[in-house]
Order: sequence, then structure tokens, then C-alpha cells
Amino acid sequence: MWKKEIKPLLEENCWKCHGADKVRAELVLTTREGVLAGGEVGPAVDMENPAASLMLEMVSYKDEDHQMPPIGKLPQNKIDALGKWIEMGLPFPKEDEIVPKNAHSHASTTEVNETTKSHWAYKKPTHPIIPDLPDHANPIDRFIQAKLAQQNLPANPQAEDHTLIRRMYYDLIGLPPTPKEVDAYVSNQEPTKFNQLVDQLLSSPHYGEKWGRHWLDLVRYAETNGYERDGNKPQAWRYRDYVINAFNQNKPYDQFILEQLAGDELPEANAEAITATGFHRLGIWDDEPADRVLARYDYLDDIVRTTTEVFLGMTVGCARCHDHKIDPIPTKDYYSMLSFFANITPHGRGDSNLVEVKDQVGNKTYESDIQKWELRRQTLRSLMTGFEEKFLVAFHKDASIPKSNKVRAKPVLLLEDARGKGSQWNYLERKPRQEWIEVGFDARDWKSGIGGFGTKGTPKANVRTIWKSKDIWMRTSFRLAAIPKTLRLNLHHDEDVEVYLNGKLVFQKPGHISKYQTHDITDISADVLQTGKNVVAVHCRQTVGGQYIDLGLECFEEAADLAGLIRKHAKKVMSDGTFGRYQAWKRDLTKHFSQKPKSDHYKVLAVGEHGERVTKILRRGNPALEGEQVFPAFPAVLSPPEPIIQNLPKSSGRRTALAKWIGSKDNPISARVMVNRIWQYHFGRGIVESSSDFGFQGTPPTHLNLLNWLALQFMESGWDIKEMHRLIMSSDVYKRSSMPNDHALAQDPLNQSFWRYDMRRLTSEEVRDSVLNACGTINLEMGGQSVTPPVPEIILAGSSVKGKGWGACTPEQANRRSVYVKVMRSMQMPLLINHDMADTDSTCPVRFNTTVPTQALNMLNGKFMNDSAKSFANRLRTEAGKEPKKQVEHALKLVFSRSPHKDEINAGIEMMKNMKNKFSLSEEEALDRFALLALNLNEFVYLD
Amino acid sequence: MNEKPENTFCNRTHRREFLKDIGGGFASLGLTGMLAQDGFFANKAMAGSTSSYVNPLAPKNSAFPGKAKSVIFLFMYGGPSQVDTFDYKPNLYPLDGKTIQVKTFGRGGKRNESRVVGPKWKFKPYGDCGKYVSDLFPHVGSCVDDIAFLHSMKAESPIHGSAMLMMNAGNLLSGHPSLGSWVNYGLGSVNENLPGYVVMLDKTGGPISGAKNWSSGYMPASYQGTVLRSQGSPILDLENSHGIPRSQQRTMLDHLRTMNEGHLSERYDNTNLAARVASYELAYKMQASAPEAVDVDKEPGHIKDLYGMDGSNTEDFGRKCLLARRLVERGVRFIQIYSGGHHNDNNWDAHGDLVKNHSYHAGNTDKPIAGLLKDLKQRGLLDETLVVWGGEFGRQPTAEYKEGTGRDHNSWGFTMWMAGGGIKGGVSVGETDELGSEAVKDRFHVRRLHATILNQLGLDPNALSYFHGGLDKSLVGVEGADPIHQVIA
Repeated sequence: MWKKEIKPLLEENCWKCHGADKVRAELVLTTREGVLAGGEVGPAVDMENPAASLMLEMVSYKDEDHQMPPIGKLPQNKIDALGKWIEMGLPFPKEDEIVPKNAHSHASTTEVNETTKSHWAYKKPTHPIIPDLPDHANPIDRFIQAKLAQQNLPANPQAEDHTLIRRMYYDLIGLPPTPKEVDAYVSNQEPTKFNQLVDQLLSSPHYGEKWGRHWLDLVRYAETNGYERDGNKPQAWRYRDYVINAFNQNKPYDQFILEQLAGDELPEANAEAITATGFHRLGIWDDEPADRVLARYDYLDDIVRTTTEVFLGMTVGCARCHDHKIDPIPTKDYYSMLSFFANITPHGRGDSNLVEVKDQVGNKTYESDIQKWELRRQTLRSLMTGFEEKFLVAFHKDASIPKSNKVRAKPVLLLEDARGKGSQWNYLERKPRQEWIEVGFDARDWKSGIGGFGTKGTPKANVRTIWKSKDIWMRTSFRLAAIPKTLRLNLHHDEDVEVYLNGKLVFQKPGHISKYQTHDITDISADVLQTGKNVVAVHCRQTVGGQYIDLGLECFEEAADLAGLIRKHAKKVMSDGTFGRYQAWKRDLTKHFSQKPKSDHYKVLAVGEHGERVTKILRRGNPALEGEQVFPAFPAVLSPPEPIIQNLPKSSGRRTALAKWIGSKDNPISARVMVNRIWQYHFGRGIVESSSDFGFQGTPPTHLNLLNWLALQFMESGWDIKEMHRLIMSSDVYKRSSMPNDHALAQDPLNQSFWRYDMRRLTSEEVRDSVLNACGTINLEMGGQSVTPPVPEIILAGSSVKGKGWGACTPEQANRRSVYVKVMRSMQMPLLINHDMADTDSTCPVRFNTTVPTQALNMLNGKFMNDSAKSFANRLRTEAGKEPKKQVEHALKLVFSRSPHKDEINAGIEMMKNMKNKFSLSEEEALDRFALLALNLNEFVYLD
Repeated sequence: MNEKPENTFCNRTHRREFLKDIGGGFASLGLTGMLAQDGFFANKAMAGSTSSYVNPLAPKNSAFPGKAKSVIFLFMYGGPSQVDTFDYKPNLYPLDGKTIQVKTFGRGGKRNESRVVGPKWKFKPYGDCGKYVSDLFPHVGSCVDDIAFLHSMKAESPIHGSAMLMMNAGNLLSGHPSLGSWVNYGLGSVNENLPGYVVMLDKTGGPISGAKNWSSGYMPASYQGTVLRSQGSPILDLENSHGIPRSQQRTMLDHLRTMNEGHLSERYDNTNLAARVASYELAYKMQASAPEAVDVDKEPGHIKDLYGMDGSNTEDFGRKCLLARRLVERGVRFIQIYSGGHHNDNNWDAHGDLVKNHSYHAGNTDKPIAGLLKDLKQRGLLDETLVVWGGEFGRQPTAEYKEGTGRDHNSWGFTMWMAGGGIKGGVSVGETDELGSEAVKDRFHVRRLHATILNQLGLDPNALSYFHGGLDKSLVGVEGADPIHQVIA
């Protein structure tokens, strides 16, 4: 049987992937031992109960997710043969066995044991001995110099002042210094001028914009979800502003971690802390996944990956389907980490990820929010009114409907009081202008609320909106289809009340009552009632004790009841199908009132938790293959403590435990990961080049002792980021010239020893900001909703719905700094993407630096660049006058941040002359061309 | 490096090293490779250049000699119905209107029974191989002896968004490089004057998820697809800005270069700076050669006719197919043409009226596709050009709604085809069940298609990898995938 049936069957269908060529799913079927041991999903055979063997289940194709061989189901006779083979006890001749050549090359690093625990990154840094080099004041230089001396490498001298100031400006605020600032710095003779400038730049609000952007790269910041609809993440920009502010306030890094991971769980969870938890909502999210259960794990996976790579420099995400292939991170650790986040509420569409917060600063966008809200309210109301008017005309014309004079026994509610649903009122607590009672009065800027108004506890009061002040003035309207024969007021007042109808006083009473009373106002109101809109205005005054005011109106004529008539007849009368829309507007309006922006509250993108979920290991990352249950735990290789989790009223407290451990001084890795990032953003490369991977696959540190020392300094300073900037920037190594040195280049071409400062290209944001800055048109307004500067048609047309999500933008807003440009996942501005802006689908620790012809096309021919060149030229004409020499000199001063040399100025003059002579261009045109050229110079986009 | 050693995830290939360097922000992703070729900066002190230097888009040697040099992927966005096009199911016709037990999974979720919609077109045999093709594709029918049909394709998602990403980038999740990016990463581009990866969109707009479908994901942006228009200015910013004629631009560039050279002379070791200077020259050359490349109007009348460029409904797609051939001739590696864009019936997504939808889209594309195959063949280009046809999934044999002929999505079984580039002609592999509902014999996951494409280009799908996020990642995923050997000549 083996020779004739089983071996050919296995050979043909199984062995290729399970032993002979490769070993997939850790399953070896080329040896008997392998079959018995099984793979990731479990033992392949059940010798006790052969029929229940996993192998048979797989080949039976019963389970959608587990079908083998993948290429198609085996014929039944072969399946039967397999069953029989197992029953026979798995006869497997030794000579036919193939031992897989799968010597796991990394077996030595994937186990959690004493050896792997002693990997440099996983054990706590200890105070290194600072090399004894008294010539160097800053310990950083001692560490660096010791290595340079060892390698006999010469260090570059200090860069020139104008180079340094440009370097520092871009480095700390992402903008160049003005010519004035350069001159002042260069001519300053104070020995302390460098450190003073560092301090000055660190206190600039633009510092947060530059360093916040670094952080946004790491946390995959984007304002849309990606995928088919690339739906908006409303209010995501508030997280961006949180980050910018956090850097500007120099928020201690441990606090920064805590707020982002668990701000909602803090005892004093203020608006800021809750905004920070937007961290969990920034990733890609498929609103229509093929497999919803799997999608939930994809969502959590994004959080686990981002958290572990960003804060811990560990690629824990690689252990989702199997133990990490290189690092000592078992799958169990992955799911233990995942369980910290397991209770997070699902990511939803649009507004569903928003949490309302109250902030002392108030709602920054209240003015524009309320305007938008009011506009929408008016639109809805006027749409409804339009319909109602058309309805009335059609209704009266329609002879087939008998016009009833019916007087009902039960009142028709024209305005419902708070014993029912209450009505929507505009109100004010300070005295309005005297026309406030008139129909035409504009009460749009009044507050709005549902009646009744008052304080809780007032007898028989149904308080819907709190009113505590002395006086209240309120207005609302109702609509009449016909003039009713009777009109009654249902009124509860505490205390003095005046009621006006269409400007006329129709009721007045001092003192208070303690229940609703009905007053007939038919006679007094008869001459002011009108069909269509009628306005009721009420003033109530409070002196002592409880307070309350509410009012309703009713009549008995069916004919007056517009709402009732519409309900009854609109379908028939309005044959054009608008009735359905009317009902939708009505529903929208009700919903709209509940969403009125508040001046002190606003909504933020944030996280919440719901319930407590059990987390189980999923074999091969497959939710259908649940394994053992796990509990929140930190990666074992870091020899961590047990997490201390305290349940909180609204959440599990798990994320707090995680954040506190990450930000703890006992954590062996967090501080080093962060100081390495700071170093990387200053020098272009970290001491550990793979700044999000400190594992065995990562690049080893070039200066481990320095890294350890910096990390300890960082923690001792109370995780003070600005202090770290000061420390690093005050070193000689930061101030070095970037010029080549043949001797050093030959020995250390990649500058691993930091013998020089590496040149760098400006980041995509810096390129765009610098162009705007050169033009003098840059708008340095900070914060707020993102802007959408113009984008070429061909880019907009790439979306399935052209330009969807990319709105209009005023020219002033279009000139905002790039950190405020809306970050969409499915579409980017060409200038930014061409210069390697961060990819947002996953965390981006290091940006690329590519040079391709399409950049040049864009920089030369793009509309933005050509428009900018024109305004740059205009600025030159204004500031430098008519003389070409002055114009060129000023232009180069602005783009180089230094005084240009004579030959450079001459080259510019020569160019303009050439353009004029060869192409008979005007002075003005020639300068336009030169301005474009200046913005394309290498020195403009590269830093020394 | 034919075979990657097994179970060594961090098998460090030379390319891997190079990209890690980029990840560190240090590698010189420039174009001095080409500069050296051109002798462009020959007089400059380049000798100091000691850092390892690779241009990502410079031509690279494939792992083994490939049959195909270029790929044209005809993407039928929205998902064409297999049983109405190339997967002949005679037994399905008589079931029309009957409700039967059949497991399906589409936009409307999973179902166990549905009403059959019989195929709406007749099939007849074509060519020497006698392949049955529906009346929707008579012209393609005439090419079947050059085509290998894959009737048992299987994808992981029946939802457009994720299925598009799967077909284009091998993964349901966003963020991965697309097929064209992998090809350019693996092989580079032989024509520096044109982008190596070009995408032509439908006139109704892009597919859903837009640029994500031709994104380079975690690779540098230099590998992303470039949108090319078949009319007007073909590439973004290819045209000079208004009022700046080419001669003026030349003079400007000369001055720009002079000033940049002055800057470079002190920084002679910095290859990025040199690359940037060169990139302006390349851009200038591209401005001259790209419009020439896309000038299909220059083609003789009989060629235009062959592609259906006759002012009728086939004009638009015909123009794009002809343009694709011209790009292939000029060494562009990967060209993707979308049939269908935007939403609903603007693409193959026939949820409502199947006949109307498929008649329209097949009618627009049948003649142009056949024209492309014939033209490539008569020029001897078909041998080295791999043409791929298909959508992100297929459609169900049953109706989606109570009434009408609309079919829901189907990722459990669908048809794609390949031609040229070392693919056997006149063969059909894999089978769906009797209803055409699910692949049952020789099921081919999308990864197998990707593996086949890479293989034909001379790339080992299981060895071509890129280091990202702690892993060597490949287009075919950790699981790996083998080429479909049955269709390889």
C-alpha cells in the first residue's frame, strides 16, 4: 500500500511544501516522526481515534479556512487511503524518509533564555565609564572622540557660523533664518551665542511644528482611513495639535507616553489627555472588510505594531502568526501584548470615534462650527418651509380633499410643552434689543435649548435645559395652515411672565404657580395670527426660590394643524415624491439640534473601552484557530515585572499598566529608543540605524556606551526632551562641518564614527515651507483644521470620485505650513510625495531620500513652483529694487541663508542677461526665470 | 540565487543590504550610475566617491534569464463574470431562474441558496485549440491559440477595496508595494527617459482606493506607478510651464547646472547632489521622449484599425492598448490599463443589468485587446511581453437580488488569462464546479498568478524580498507561492 498508494499520494500532493522543498506551517510529512509531531495547527494524526485526525479534516475540505492540498480536493479514494494508512499505524519505511534541511539559522536568537536576554538592547543600561578626555567638555564628545582616536580618524573642524545657524534653524523649527538673523548671529562675538540660539529656537512655537511632525511619522498619522472610501477621521487634526503642543510645552516623555496610550484612564483625564488617545485611531481601517473577525485583529495588530516598534524598538508584530523568526518574541508574547488593547471599542465610521471633552480653553473652532451648524439648520428649515408652502397651495387647490371644519375633542398641539417632548427655543439670559418680540427679529446668535427651562426641583417642573440666572428671554415659532377659532396657552411660570405673539402682548402674570395652567387667548390673539410662520416670545423673571418657565400652544381645528395635514395628505397632494425628503429633513433637523456645537465642549478623536474580553493565542494568526488563553504581559525577554492592573470604572486599566511600564525607569529599552530617535533626527542617522528595531535583525549601535549614557541622562532629567536637544546640540560633533575629507572618507565613507556632520536634503515639508518662506507668502498661523491647497487635476482624477475629501481652500490657508496640510491616505500633494513624505499605512521611523526625474519635472514645470517663482520675484523687486545685481544678491541671500559670493552673483546676473538677450525677455520675465532657478538650486534644498 | 535557502528569513541578499541602507537615510538613491554611463560628469572629481552606490531604477540582472521583458496588465476593474466570458458552463443555461443550493460569498454576505442567472451569451469554439469563448469576446476569441486561461483563480476577498489591493499588491491590507513596484525594484528600467511603471486609468476616473493601487507601499516612492494619460499632456508636469519654451528651459538648465556644479565642487563626494543635477537632465530628456512615445496618432491607419481606433466605442481603450505597445517597445517594464473606473456600472461591477453592463465594457475592450495581441505578435514582441487579463475577482452564477440579472462578487472562483512572455498558448488550466461558482480543480491563489508573472520576468518570486518592519517581505508573502508551471512554455 505504501509504495503503490500512500507514497505517490504524499509525494504528489504534500511533500513539496511539507518537508521536501520547504517546511510550511512547521509541518513535516516526509518523516513518520514529523507526521506524529504535526505543525502549527496541531498533530497531523490522532492515533487513538484515527477518524478524528487533523490531516483527514484538512483533506475533507469541510472547513473553508483549512483545505489541503490547496490546489484542489483529493478524490475520495485517496482520502480513504489516507484514513486507512493512519488506521494501520502509519507505516513509513525509513528509506523513504526525507529529513528536511531546515536548520533554523536563527534558533540561537529566537528563544527567550539567558543568552538572548543579555542582548545589549534587552538588558538595562548601566552607567558607562566616560572616556577620560578632559579636552572635551561635553561627555558626548568624549565617547565619540575615543572611537575616532582608536580608528585614527580626523574629525572635521567646526562649521562656519552661517552654516551652523541654518542647520540649527531647520533642525529645530524646520524653517531657515532670515538674512537679518544670520547677520546678527555671524557678527555676534559672545561665546554663549550658540547656546542662546538653541534656547531661543527651543522656545519658538515652530519648534513643536517641526518635532511634532517627526512624531506624527512614527504614529502613522493620517486623517483618513484608507481603502475603498478613504473616509475621513473627523477631528484627527486635534491629535496633531496635541502633539505640537506637547513638544512646545516640553511635556516629559513618560507623561507623553502615558497620555497617548491611556490618557482616558488617567484620574484627571482632561481634554488634552483624551485627545492624546487618538493615537489608537490613526491607523488604516477597512470599513468593509471581507472578514470582520479578522479585521478586528488587524485593527489591534496595527496598535500592537505601532506601540512596540515606536516605544520599544521591538518588532513584536512579526510574532502574530508564529514565533518571531529572528528575535526572542514568542507568539504568546504577541497576544499578551494584544490583550492590553483587547477591550478598545471598535473603530467605526465618521463620527463614531469621537468623544466629547470639556476644555477650559474652550472650543477653538466654536465660531466656525456654530456658523456651519447654523447654516445647516437654516438650510434644513428653509427646505422644510418651502415644502410646507407648496403643500398648502396644493392642498387648497385639491378639490378631492374635503376641507374639514372639524373641531376635535382632543387639542391639536401647535407647540408642545415639556410634559410631552418639549419644543426647541432660542433663548438669552441678558436683555435683548427691544425688537426681540417681533416676527422679523434675528435670534440666530441666541443660545438654543429644549423647553422647559429652570432648576431641578422646582415643583411640577420638567427641566430640559438648565436656567439659573435672573431673567430669561425666549423665542420660538409655529406654523399654521389656517387661522384657528380658539387658541389656548399651556403655561407654567415661576415667576413673573410676559407672553408675546407676533409682537403683541397676549398674556402677562406676576408671581409663580406650581403647575401647568391653560389660558384661552383666542380673543386677544385673533388679530395677529397668520397662516405660515408665527412667533411666540416669552420673558420670565426670577426673584427667589425655584424657577421654571415652559409654554405650549394648542387649538382644536384640524384645519390649523399643518403638521397633521401634511401627515395625512402630503403623500397624495405632493405627487413629486418630495414628501419622503421632507420627512428626512425633519429627522435631520431633530438630530441636528442635538449636535449643536458648544463653546466649552468639543469632540476629539479618542479611544474608549467596553467590557472585558478574553484573549487567546491565534495559531497562524487565524481567528478560527484559537489556542490557550493569555493575559496582559510584557515581552518576556525584557525580564519585566508582572503588570499591575487596576480596574477603573469605565475601562480595564490595562493600558495604564502598559504605559507606566514603558515609561518606567526600570524599562531597559524605552529611554534608549527615544534618545536614539532624537539623535537620529539631529544627525540623520541614529546611533542604532534601525531606530525601530533594536533586535537581532537590527543594526548594532555604533556607540553603545554613548547611547546608554544618553538614556540614563534622559531618565535622570525627568524625560526632558528639550534638555536632550541642548545636550546633543552643544557637542562638537553636532557643530562639525559636513565637508569631505579624503582620508576619513577612505576609512569611514558612511561616517559611522561621526567624524563629520552629514549633509541632508530638506524634508518634503521643509522644501514646501521654504519655497513659501522665500516668497514671503508663508502663513505661520498655528493649529486648527487641516488645509487643502490646490492639487493638479491629474492627481485629483486618480480617485474613484474625483477629488473626494480634498476641499477648497483660500489662498491664505493654502500658504500654511505643510504640517497643517491634510494627510489623506489615498492622495498626496505631488511636491510632498515626490520629496518622500512619510508613508502613513504603518509607522515610519526613517524617511527615504530619493532623487528621480519626476521631482525635477515638478520643481521646474509644476504650477505651485511657477506661481511661487513669480511671487518670489515680486518680493525681490519690492525689497531689492530694480538693479539685477541687487535682485540676485537678495535672492541668493534668501535661498542660501548666507551672503552670496561674487561669482555666484555674477552667475545670476549672467543668467538674466542671457535670458534677456537670447529670448528677448523683459527685465521682469528674466527675473521670474531667475527666481525659479534659485528655488531649484541644490543648495536651497540641501543642508550642510 | 535560484533558490532561497529555506527558513532563513533574514537571508541577506545584496539587494536587501542596499535597501537597509536607504532605510537608514544614507544610501545614495541617485542617478550617477547613469551619469557615469553618459560620461556626464566625467571631468568632475568623482573619484572621491567611495560609498557604495546603486541607482534603484538602473537596469538590474534578473535572477535567471526571463522570457518576458515587460508586462501589460489589462485590469477589468469591478470583476467580469467568468460564466459569461471564458468559462463555458453549458449546464448552467437550463437552470436559469431556478433557485438552487449553492454556497456563495459576495458583497451581500454568505448564502446557501440563490436563483441561477443562466449565462447571457452563447459560446462557440475558436482557434486550433477549440477554446469556447462567449459572444462578448469574438475578437479575443480569434487569439485563443496564444492564450492560457486560468479558470480556477481564487482571491481572499469579495469586496472591491481589499480585493483590488490583493490583486495589485498581494495583500488585503493597505501599505504594500504593488506588482509594478516589485517588477521595477527587481529589474529596474531600461529606459531612463520614461517611467518604468505606468498606469492608464479609465476615462470615468480611477478605481476605488485610487493611488493605493499603484503605490510603492513601504518601498521608496521612486517605485510607484506613474499615471499616464493617453491624451493631452501624458504625465504630470511634463509640459513646460506656460510661456517657457524648450529653448529657454535649456538655457535655464545650463545655468542651473553651472551653479549647482559650483556647489558640488566642494562637496565632490556627495553623490546625492550629483544625482539631483542629473535628474534635471533626465527630466529634460523625458520631456522630449515621452510625448514622442505617446504619440499614437503617428501610427499608420491599418494599425489604428487593428486596435479599434476608429472613433467608435473602442477608440479609447484601443488608444491605450496601442500606447502600451509603444511603451513596451521603448522598454517600459510594467503597464497597467484599467477598463472601468469610478463606481457601479462605470466598471464591470454588474449588480443590476448584467447584459447592459458587460455588453458595454466588453464591447469597448474586445477589439483593442485582440488588436494588441495581434500587433505584438506580428512584431515579434509577444514572446517578450506578458499580457495579463482579469479583474479583482469574478462574479457568481446566481443573482444577487430577487429580480434582474445582476451578479454579486465572487472570489472563490474566477477566470484570468495570460498571453505571451513565455506562456503556452491554447491551453486552459484549472476548473470551477459545474456552475462556475467555485474553483475545484487546480485552484490558483492570486499569489500563484503573481509568482508566475515574476517568474516569467526572470525573478524568483520566493527570493525577491524587501526588508521592512523586521521582516524580509515578498510579494507572495510568508507562505510563498510557486509559478503555475502548467501554463509556462
